[in-house]
Amino acid sequence: MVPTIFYAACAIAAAGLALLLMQSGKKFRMGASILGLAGIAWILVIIIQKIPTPASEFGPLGLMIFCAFISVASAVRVITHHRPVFCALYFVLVVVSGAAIYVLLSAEFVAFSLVIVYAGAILITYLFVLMLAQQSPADIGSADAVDYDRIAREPAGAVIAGFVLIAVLGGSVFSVSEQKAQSILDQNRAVRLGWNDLSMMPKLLLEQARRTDPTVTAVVARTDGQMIAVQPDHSAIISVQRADQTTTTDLTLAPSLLPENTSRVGMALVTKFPVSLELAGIILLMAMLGAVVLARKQTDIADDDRRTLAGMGKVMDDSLAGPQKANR
Amino acid sequence: MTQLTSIPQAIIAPELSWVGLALLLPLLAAVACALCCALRVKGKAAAIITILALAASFGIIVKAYFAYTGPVQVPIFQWIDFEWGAGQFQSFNANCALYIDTLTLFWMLFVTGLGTLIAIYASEYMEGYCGSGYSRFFFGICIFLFSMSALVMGDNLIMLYLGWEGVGLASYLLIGFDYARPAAVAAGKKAFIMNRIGDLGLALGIFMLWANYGTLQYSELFAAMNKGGQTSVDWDLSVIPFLLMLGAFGKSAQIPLFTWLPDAMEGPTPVSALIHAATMVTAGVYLIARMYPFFELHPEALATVAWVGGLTALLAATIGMAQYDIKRVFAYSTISQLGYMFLGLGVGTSFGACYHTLTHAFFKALLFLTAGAIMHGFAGQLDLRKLSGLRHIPGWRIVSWTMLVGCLWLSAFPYTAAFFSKDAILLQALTSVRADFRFLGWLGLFTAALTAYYTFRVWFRVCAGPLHFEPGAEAHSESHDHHAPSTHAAHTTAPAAKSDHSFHPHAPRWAINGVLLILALGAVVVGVPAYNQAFAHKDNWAQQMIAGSSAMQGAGLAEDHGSQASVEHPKVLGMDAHTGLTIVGCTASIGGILIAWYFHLGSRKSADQLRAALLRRWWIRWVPICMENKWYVDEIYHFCFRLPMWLGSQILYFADRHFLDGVMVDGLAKIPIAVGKLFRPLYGGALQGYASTMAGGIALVVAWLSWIWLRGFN
Amino acid sequence: MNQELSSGFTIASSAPIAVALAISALLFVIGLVGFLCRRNMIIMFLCTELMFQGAALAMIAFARLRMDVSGQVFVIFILTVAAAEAALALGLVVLLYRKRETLSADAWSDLGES
Repeated sequence: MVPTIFYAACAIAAAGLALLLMQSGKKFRMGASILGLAGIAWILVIIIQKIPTPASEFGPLGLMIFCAFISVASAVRVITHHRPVFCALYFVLVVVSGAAIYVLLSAEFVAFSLVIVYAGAILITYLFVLMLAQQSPADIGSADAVDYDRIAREPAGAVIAGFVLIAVLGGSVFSVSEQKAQSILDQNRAVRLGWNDLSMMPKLLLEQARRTDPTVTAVVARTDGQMIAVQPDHSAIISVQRADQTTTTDLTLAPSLLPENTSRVGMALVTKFPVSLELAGIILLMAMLGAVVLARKQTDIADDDRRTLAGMGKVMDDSLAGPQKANR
Repeated sequence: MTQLTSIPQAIIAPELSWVGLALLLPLLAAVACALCCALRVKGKAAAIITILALAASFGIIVKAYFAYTGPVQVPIFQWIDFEWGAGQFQSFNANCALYIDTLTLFWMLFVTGLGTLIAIYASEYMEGYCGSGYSRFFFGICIFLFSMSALVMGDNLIMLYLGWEGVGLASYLLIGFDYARPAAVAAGKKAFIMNRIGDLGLALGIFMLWANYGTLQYSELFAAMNKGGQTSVDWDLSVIPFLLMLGAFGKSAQIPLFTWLPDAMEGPTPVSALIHAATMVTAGVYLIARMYPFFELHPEALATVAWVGGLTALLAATIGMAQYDIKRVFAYSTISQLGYMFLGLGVGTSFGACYHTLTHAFFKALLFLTAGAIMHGFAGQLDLRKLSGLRHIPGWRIVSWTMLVGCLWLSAFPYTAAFFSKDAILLQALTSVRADFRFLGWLGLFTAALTAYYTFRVWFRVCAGPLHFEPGAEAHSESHDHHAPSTHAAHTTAPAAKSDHSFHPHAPRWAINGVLLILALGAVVVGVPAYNQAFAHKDNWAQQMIAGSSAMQGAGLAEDHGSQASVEHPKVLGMDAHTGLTIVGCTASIGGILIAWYFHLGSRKSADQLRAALLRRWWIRWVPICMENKWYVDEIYHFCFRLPMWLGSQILYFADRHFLDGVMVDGLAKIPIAVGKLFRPLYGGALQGYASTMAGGIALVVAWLSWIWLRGFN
Repeated sequence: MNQELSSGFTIASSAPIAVALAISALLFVIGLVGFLCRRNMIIMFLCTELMFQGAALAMIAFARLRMDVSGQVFVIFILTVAAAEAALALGLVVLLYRKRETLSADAWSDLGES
């Protein structure tokens, strides 16, 4: 039964991770790493076995598995390394291999922005803060790291919680019949969405039409109100006006003229999610304000002083004022 | 005596609507007093407003009396008017309208007249409260007068009930006037709650009347009675008089429900005089007199009234003999005299009962007001053992002598007004064909002797004899000196007492003295109708007044007793009934006074000796003990009603506390607390503790969801 | 990049997507385990970034599966939120470090009941 095997693989991977977190001798750690990698490999093998793959796919699949191993292994190093700086550097490796997987999944724009934003900006900040908050070597003493970096808290429990999550999710995924999983992939839908995206970009559409036929002067709406009619062979027909003609004529666009991923993302960003885009901007602004507030010098001031600073009078407390008068 | 006639049919007279001012003026005065109260008026504005309003009200009633020609119904405005069908029992209306016949006027004359006088008295009596309750007091008085007027003048039983509850409220408010004293608060509550029992009877009686006759308007009810044919002793018909009776007994402090009235003396004395002696407590008499025809719906209804009245008279008199508080003695005498009125109603002489109400109103108000003057002057002292010889103090002569008038009248001294009114009642009882009524008559005569004794016990102790007094508990606040002694030695001479003593009794001024004199005069004047009858052989005014109303229209009753008495001239002790009764009554009254003279003026020590002698003998010891302890009625009620209720409430309290609160509420609340304790270690404050709880929770939820998902797919 | 790959024709089967999803799950779980195990506050936040990575990878994989660019747009938003979160979180960490002179999360357990 596939789920049982899958559970066993998960258990092996979990055991490897747990042993790595236990922090023992060097040989022990080597064995634990091999155990964990074997578990992960077994998981991937189960997955690949489950899904029939054509020969033409072997290239991207191999690349992806390679990236997967780099990514998972460096992720494990992030959480097991004793020295925070190395953790951050391993995280860079995770991000970069992740970006490679993005590219394999044809998300080039996001892949590059990931590298720029994460590996470039965020990680630099992390490193900066790490340097700022690092104890001086004198404090650390002979050990290569402080206690709270060396000793993990309850690794077994954490690993069990995490891998139970993977096991139940993966197990349920494997129980789904193959037909169902296959049917989700709809080529026609992808093509239709692609052409649809293009129809919302009139300039690019005109450019693509000119690339097919240089005499085109304008692309006009078809008789059914749509800009593009998608054909069963994934090509598309548009109505165009030519320089030498007064009437509109049809023009067939080849599938290779479908818009690039990056332009589709940009289009979706401004047409489908404009409000979310604005909200993202506001979140960034708020984060900036928050960072400014946090960075200010934090001093504890009494209520009276705060009132004075705000230009208000002091509060006269009778219970305090009474004895003073009596003393006078 | 009387002959059997039908009740005169009332005519509707909207032109007489100015009589409604008698109702409206006290209400407006009440509003004004409430305003004075709210504005914290320090002066006597409230008293002036009240006195003016009540005097105007009295004037209106007098005018109405002179304008009177026959029973009238004066509509004022539509109040309650429901109709849910066309049939006889398918509508309910109770308009704000007045029913004015001679009984109404008779009652209203003394209610408003005495109300005015007592308001004048109170304007001086209550001046110690100026600025702190003075306006509130007069507010209560105005509310009382309004309610009493509504009770007496209303044209239907709903108006009567409104007034009935209103006087109960005013009584409660005024008994508890000095709400800082727990005794006053307790007395107010007691009066209110005991009245509730009676009011329940009255309310049920009114329901029954509507259920049987379909109307609550007097004129229509009397018309229904005139038709006759209602005398069949049906269960729900015959229960009506008993229910109404219960209401009357509650309001007029008769035997099952009398214990509230002595306690009501906690209120200010003008209140005791007006509400708890002269007017409100006679509302029960009024109710029975007004609904007299309905008391034949059961043959024994009036006999019950007679027995209750006679026994109450005796019981209250015996208690009154053994009390030392002057106001309490007068309170028991009030109960006793009310008992006479009920006896009179029961044996069939509504004239005697109503006439006695009138005379009693004057002399009892007079007595209470003199007691109040003494209390006012002697710093709250009311113990008759600690006051003596007041008539020797200059400034107290008017009080002493008017008190003597009141006492003579109360003890039915021969040829006083009360003598004639009591005579009318006892004559009717003694000449009755029923043996038990005759027995009640002799009982009443015995009670009259007791009355004379305890009345003059008070007067001889307080006003006669050597001068001696001790101030009451309020001396501390009233004393002008730096030091107020709590006990005082006897002072035999007045100048000595006044010159070197720290306590000076302050004598009443014109308002109190004037009112006392007017009341004494009134007590004499109310005897005039009887003198007219006895000496000039003219018509008795009071009898005319009663005869013209529903109170005299006992359909079969006058025939049974009254007319027989007049026809056969029965004998009392072998003599003519009138002569015999006069002789016996005079003997009883004068005998009682002489005994009181011996024990309380002649040789005061012998009274204590007699008491000691009685207490020494085991077979008679119970008599003084029971009398001094009011026959333990309060204790019996406590044991029979309050204690079981208290026990029940304790049981319910226990159940509520330990079962409802303890098990249901607290017990249920303990479950989440226990569950919370179970999970507390998860929230130890460490950041990862929270995170791992969250992760574990998510894992559980995902496991559960995927399990459901799998089951759905396979 | 190959035109056919980018427009989504050549990967007929979903094996690479399945592998990507497995990696995303593993990244998420490793991040979670790290968050639970490590005591250094900066590393804990780094682990949350790891979990973000897992979630973002799942988005990309599903976008590929559905041939819909919305998933990629979501990743851009995730990047935004992660950047904001990193800025604030690191500011807080610096603040906390200034107060207690340590990066250990155990120094901050005042909310505990016992």
